[in-house]
Amino acid sequence: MRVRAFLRGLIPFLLIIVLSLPILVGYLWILISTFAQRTYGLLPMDADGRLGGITLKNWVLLFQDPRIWTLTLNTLFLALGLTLGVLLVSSLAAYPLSRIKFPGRKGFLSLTLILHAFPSVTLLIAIFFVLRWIAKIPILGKGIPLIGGFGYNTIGGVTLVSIALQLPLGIWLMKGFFDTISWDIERAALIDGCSRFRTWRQILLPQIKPGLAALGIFSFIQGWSSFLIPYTFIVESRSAVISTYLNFLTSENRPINYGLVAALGLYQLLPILIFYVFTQKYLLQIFSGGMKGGA
Amino acid sequence: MKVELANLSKKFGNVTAVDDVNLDIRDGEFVAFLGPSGCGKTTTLLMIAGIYRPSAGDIFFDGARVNELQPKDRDIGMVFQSYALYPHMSVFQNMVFSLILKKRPKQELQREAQRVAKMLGIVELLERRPGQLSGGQQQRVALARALIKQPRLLLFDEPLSNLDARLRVSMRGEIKKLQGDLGITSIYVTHDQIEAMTMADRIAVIKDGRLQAYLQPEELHDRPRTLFIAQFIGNPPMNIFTVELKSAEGGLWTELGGGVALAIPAERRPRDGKKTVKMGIRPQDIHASASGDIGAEVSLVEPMGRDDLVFCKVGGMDIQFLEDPALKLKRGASVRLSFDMGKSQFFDPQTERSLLWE
Repeated sequence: MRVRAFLRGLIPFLLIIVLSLPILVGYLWILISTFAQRTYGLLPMDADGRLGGITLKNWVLLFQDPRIWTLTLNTLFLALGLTLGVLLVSSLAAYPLSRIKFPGRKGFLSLTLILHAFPSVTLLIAIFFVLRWIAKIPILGKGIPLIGGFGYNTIGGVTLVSIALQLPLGIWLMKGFFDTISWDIERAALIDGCSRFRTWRQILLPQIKPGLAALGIFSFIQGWSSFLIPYTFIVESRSAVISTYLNFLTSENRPINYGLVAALGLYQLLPILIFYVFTQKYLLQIFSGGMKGGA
Repeated sequence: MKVELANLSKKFGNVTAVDDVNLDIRDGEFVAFLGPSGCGKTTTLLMIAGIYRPSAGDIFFDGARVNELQPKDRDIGMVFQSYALYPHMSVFQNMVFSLILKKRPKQELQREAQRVAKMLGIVELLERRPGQLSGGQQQRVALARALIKQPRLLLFDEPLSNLDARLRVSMRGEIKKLQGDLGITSIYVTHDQIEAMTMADRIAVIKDGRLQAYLQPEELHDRPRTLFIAQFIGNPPMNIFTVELKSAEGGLWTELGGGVALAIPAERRPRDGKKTVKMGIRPQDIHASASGDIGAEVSLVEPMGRDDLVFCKVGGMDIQFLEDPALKLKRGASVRLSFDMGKSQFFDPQTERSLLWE
C-alpha cells in the first residue's frame, strides 16, 4: 500500500518533468553553447567537429563589444522605469478605486479590465503616432540625457508605453490588495490625525508591501525581457535593449555566431533567474490573490 | 463634552440608514447605542466621528456645530470591533502615532505611553507587534491608543464582540470603571443588550435607523415604550400574546386561550380602550404553583444553572418562564401557572407602542 501511495505521489512530478523537458533542454543548450566553439545536439564540439572545444571565447567576444554596456544600461533603465512607474501610478490609482465612491468608478474599473485583455499588438500603430507626436515636444520629446526623452525612438518613450500597457494589471492587483485592508484601520488613522494621503503612505502602503513587491518584481522582469515594444519603437542601435540586439544578431546577413547569441541570451537570463530565486515567494502572491489585511 | 444630535439623518443612495435622530449626551455620561445589526447605530457613531458626513441634520459638540469638522480635529478617541491596530507598528508606535502626528516632543511620547500602558496593564507589551498579541491584549492596546490623546469624547464600536464570553464580562467592568474614573463622555455601540444594560447611564435603542427610546437601563427594562424594546431588552425575552380585553365585575380582564381570564390590576390598565391588544409578561413573572389559574404542559426544559427555563404551551400559545430547578420539571409534565399581572405590559397591535407608558 505504501509503495502504491508513493508511486501515485510520483505521477505529478513525472508529468511536470516530461512537460518541461523541452524547455529544460533549451536552457541546457544555451548554457553549453556559450562555452563551446560549436555544438552538435547538446554536445560541445570544436571547429573540426570533434568532441571538446570548451572555450570562453563567446563571453570574451560579448564583453569586448562596447555596445554591451549601453545595452545593459538601456535595458536596466527600461526595467527600473517600468517598475517604478507601474508601482507609483497603480498604487495611487488603486487607492481611490478601492476606497472612495465617485461617479464613473465602476466604468473605469471595467474599462481597465477590458484594456488588460486587449492585445497590445493592435495598438502599435496608434502608439507610433502618439510617440511621434511626443517627440516633437521640445526637451521632453528627445532631449533628456540617458533615457533620450519620452518620444519615438527613445528609451523613455518605450518605458512610457510599457508602463501604460502594464497599468491595467497593476491597478487591478493593487486594488485587490487595498480591498483586503479593513476600513476600520483607515478610520482609526483618520481619527488619529492622518490626512488621506498620509493614510495611504504610512498606514496602507506598509500593509500591502507583499503586493508591491510582487508587482514590482513582475514589472521588472517584464521590462527586462520585453521585446515587441522596444523592437517596434526603437530604430537607433544607440537606444537598443538586450532583446532587440539579440534579434539583430540573429538576423544579420552574415553567418550567425550561435555561441555569441547564446552568451547574450544567458547574459539576459541571469539577472532574472537570480532575481526570481530570491523573490519567488512574493511573486506567488499575485496568483494567490493577495494577503489577509489587518493584524 | 456635551454632544447633541439634531434631526440627524444619513442616506446611502436610496437607503436611509439613520432617520431623523435627536439625542443629547451630557458631559461625562456613558451612553449606549443599542440595536440589532444593520439598524444604523454604527453609522450614527461614524457620523459623530466625522467619517461619514450627515445627509441632513446637525451634530453639536459643546454647542458648536461640527458637521464639517475633520475627524482629527474633533478631539475624539475611537475603539473598533476589529481593534484596527496598525499591524506594521509596535504597540508603542501604535499608541503614540497620534501624538507624533501632533509633533509632540519625544520625552512626552515616552511619558504618556508609560502612563497609559500602566493604566491598562500593558507595559510589558510595548515592544510587541499587534500580531503577537491575543484578542484581549489587542483590545487593551486599541483602548490605550484612544486614551493617550486624552480625548474629550470616546467612541466604542462593539469593542467586545470579538472576545470570548469570560473576557467580555471582565473587560465590560474594566471599561466602565475606567470611564467613570476618567470622566470622559462616551458612546458605546453594541447589539448586546446585557452590555448596554450593565455599562450605560442611558441607552438609545435604535431600530431601522430610528430612535425608539432614550432612557435609563431600569426604565427601559421595566417600562418598555415599544413592543420592540420589550422583546429586545431582557434575557430570556418577554412573552408576547395577542389577547382580548373584557370588562366585567367592575374590572378589566384579559381572555387568554383556553377560556382563562386574568384580572388586570388598576395601575396596569391599558389606555385607549382597544379590544385587541398585545400583552407582554417576562419569564420571571410567571410561576408554577398548585393554585395557578392556567393549565399547561411542559414541552422543553433548559437548565440555566440558577434557574430552569421552561417552555410550555397554553391554548396554542408558547410561554416561557423561569422556575426553581428544585421543582424538577420534566418534559411532558402538567403544571399550573400563575401570572404576576402587576408586571404585565400592554401594546397597541398596530403602532406597537406601549399602552401604559409615554
